[in-house]
Amino acid sequence: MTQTDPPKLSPRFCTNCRSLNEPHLAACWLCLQPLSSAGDYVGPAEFQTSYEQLSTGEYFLRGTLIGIFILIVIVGIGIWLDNDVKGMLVPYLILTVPAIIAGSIPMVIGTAQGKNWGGRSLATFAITIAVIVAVAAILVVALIVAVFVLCLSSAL
Amino acid sequence: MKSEVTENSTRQWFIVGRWEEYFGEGQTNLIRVCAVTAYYAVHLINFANYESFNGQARPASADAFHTQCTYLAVGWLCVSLGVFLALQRRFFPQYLKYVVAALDLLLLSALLYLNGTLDTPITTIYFLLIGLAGIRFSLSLVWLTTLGSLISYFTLVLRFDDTPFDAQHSTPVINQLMMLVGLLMMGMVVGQIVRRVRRMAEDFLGRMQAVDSGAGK
Repeated sequence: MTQTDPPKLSPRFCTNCRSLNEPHLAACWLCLQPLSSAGDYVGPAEFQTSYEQLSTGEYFLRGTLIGIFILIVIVGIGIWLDNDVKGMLVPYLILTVPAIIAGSIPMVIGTAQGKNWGGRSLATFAITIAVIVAVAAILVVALIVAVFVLCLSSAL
Repeated sequence: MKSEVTENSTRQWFIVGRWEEYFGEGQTNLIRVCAVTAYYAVHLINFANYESFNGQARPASADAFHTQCTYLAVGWLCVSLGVFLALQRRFFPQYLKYVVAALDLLLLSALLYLNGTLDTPITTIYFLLIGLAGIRFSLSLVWLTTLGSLISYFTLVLRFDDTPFDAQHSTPVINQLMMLVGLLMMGMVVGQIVRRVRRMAEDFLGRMQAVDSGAGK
C-alpha cells in the first residue's frame, strides 16, 4: 500500500481585491468578501503587483520586529534593576521570547527564499539595523555610566 | 448605470481604505514601540541616577512607581507583539484598530493614575494617540479616540480631586478646560484631514483623466 502525500494547497488571490490569501481562509483577510474557488478579478490589474510587493515586504514589520527586540531587552533591564520583581525576569522571558521567535521565523524564511530583498530594501534594512544598534549601544553605555556614577556617589 | 458606478467606486474606495488601514496599523505599531522604548529608557536612566539627578536618596515611592511603570511597559510590549503577529499573519479584522486604540488609552490613563497628578507632560501623549488614529485613515476611529481621551482625562481629573465640583482643585480649572478644548480641536483637525483625503483623491483622478483625454490642455 502506497502512501501519498496530501495535496499542497496554494495561496489564493481574492477575486474582489486581488490580495493574496492563505488557502484555509473562507473570507479575504483584506476586503472581507467570501473567497470563491474561481472567478475574475474585477479591479485594476496593475495594482496587484504593487500592493503585493508592499504588503509582503513591509518595511515597518521588519522595523517593528527590531524595535520590539530592543524593547524586550530594555524592559528586561528594568525588571532586573527592580529588586521587588527580579524574580519575574524568567516568566517575562518565557512570555516574550517565543513570541519574538515566532515573529522572526517567517522573515528568516522569506530571506532564505530570496523574497522581498531588493538591493534598496537590503540597504535600508542594513542602515536601520546600524542606527538601532548604535542607539542601543549608546543606551547601554549610558546605563553602565549611570550605575558607575551611582556606585561612586554612594561610596563617597 | 449611475448606481453601478457609485457602487463600484465605493467598493474600490473600501479596498484602498483597507490597504491604508493595514499600513497605518503597522506604522502606528512601529511608532508605539519606538515611543514606549524611548519613554521607558528615559524613565530607566532617571531611576538608575535618581540620587545624582534629584539630589536626594531614592524614596520607596520611586521604587514602587518604577515597578508599576515596568508592568505598564510589559503591557504595551504585549500589545505591540500581538499587533505585530496579527499583521504579519494577516489577521486584520475591522475591530482590531478600535481594540488597540482602547488599550492604548487604558494603558496611558493607568500610567497617569499611577503618576498621581495630571501636572505632567505625560498628558500630552493623548494628543499623540489622536494623531495615531489619523494614520489609520478612519474617521470613526479618530472620533472614538478623541472621545476616549476626553473621558479618560476628565475621569482622572475627578479622581484626583478630593471632592469634585468644589472650590479646591488638584488641577486648575483653566488647565482642565484648555486640555479638554485642545483634545477636541485636535480630534477635529485630524478628522478633517481624514475626511479630505477622498476628495483630494477624486479630484486628482478627475484631473488625470482630463489630462489623458486631452481636455486638460
